[in-house]
Amino acid sequence: MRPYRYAGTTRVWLADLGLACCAVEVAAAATGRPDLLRHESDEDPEPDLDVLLVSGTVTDVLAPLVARRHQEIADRARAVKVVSVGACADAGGPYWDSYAVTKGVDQLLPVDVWIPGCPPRPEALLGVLEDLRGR
Amino acid sequence: MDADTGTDPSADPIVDAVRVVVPDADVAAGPGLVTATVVRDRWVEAVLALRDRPETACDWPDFLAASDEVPRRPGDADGYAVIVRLWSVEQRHGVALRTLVPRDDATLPTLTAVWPGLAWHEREAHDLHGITFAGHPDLRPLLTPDAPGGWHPLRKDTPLVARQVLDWPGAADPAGARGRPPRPYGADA
Amino acid sequence: MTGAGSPRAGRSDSADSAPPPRSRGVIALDPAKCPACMVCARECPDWCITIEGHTETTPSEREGRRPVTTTVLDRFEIDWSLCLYCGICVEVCPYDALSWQPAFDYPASEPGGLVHDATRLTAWSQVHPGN
Repeated sequence: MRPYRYAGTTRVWLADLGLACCAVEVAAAATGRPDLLRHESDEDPEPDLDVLLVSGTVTDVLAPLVARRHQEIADRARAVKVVSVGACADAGGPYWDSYAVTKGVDQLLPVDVWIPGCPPRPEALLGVLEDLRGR
Repeated sequence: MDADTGTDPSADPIVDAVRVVVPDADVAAGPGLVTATVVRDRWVEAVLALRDRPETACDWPDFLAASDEVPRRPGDADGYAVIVRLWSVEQRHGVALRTLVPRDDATLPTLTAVWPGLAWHEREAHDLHGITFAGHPDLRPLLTPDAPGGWHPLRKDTPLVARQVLDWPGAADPAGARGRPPRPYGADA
Repeated sequence: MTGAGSPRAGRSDSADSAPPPRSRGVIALDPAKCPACMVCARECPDWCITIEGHTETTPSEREGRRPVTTTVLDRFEIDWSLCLYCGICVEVCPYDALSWQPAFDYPASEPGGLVHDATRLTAWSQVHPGN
């Protein structure tokens, strides 16, 4: 979980639950465009926006931990936006028939935005942050 | 002849060494992997011999896993295969030791007395394939829910529920074509 | 580069976020080419393509010939929340009715919003024409 400043104005806390390969694309989004998304000092106390990114495959074994992490952030933040990054978190994706995979993180959490892709491009995440900032 | 390396896998010195150390094993040499199959009663003995005899000296257990062997042709193996890959750190050679346990009595003596580190692997094989390792200290489910009667998702007769509860979209037939398209696994209903 | 604070950041049609040519962003449908033959829906490993159609029989224009039966596409949907972007559907389509398009910016803000119907799938071919 790291604070960022988006587009020079909005203070964004990004918490990434990187559960599989989509986390690599999230890392690319978080570091690849410092002109858009810039890492702030860790002490920033008052974010404008708390965003929980669930990037990757949510397994049934891990599902309680995902829900707990969300609760921890929700307890602290005024409002938290949940973004499901990639097909696995959206609905299971390629693991739609797996015995071990939760078919969509929206079964656990109130999801605000579903990003498609396997994996999504980093720019797709930046576009979603742009949308969330405007809401 | 291995097409990739241009060498004959059966000429690998480990093949003869395994035949000497475990004379009753059925040894097969493939590219990059020598497999020795023994009957269930010889499982622990074969592991100890491969570890302790200087010809093989396989002192490091790489992994242990199981596999559901469904026969496709007459004479094929039928049951659950358990495979332990052993490696000699000194001699830099290895062998995959394999045995077959019957479906109605999927038990095998544990190797945890030989290598305590295999406890995790045997526990996983118990989870996924339902193989009971006699003498294992703790076979509680590791990755799967603790279902009554056991639930072993990598047994091939365990249904993939998602494929059963969802309708296969390919079953639709807008053109009214005669015949029935080949169905993917699970879309048999 | 449009630079920081661009109102179009993160859009596939913006200068600073444009995907490379031939990107596998989304699959577009040309409904005029699709006779609902079902090949793509049957080959899809994720069961994410839904097709409905019906047959229509019209009398032949030529005297004494049998009536002509054609299949009409009624519904074509791709569920992007399941798609693994393997491209098998594009490859197997005998009519070239499906094509890769580079657009990636179609997140959903409500459940089911990643299911695109034929109208939306058709519109993708207009986003980056010429790809």
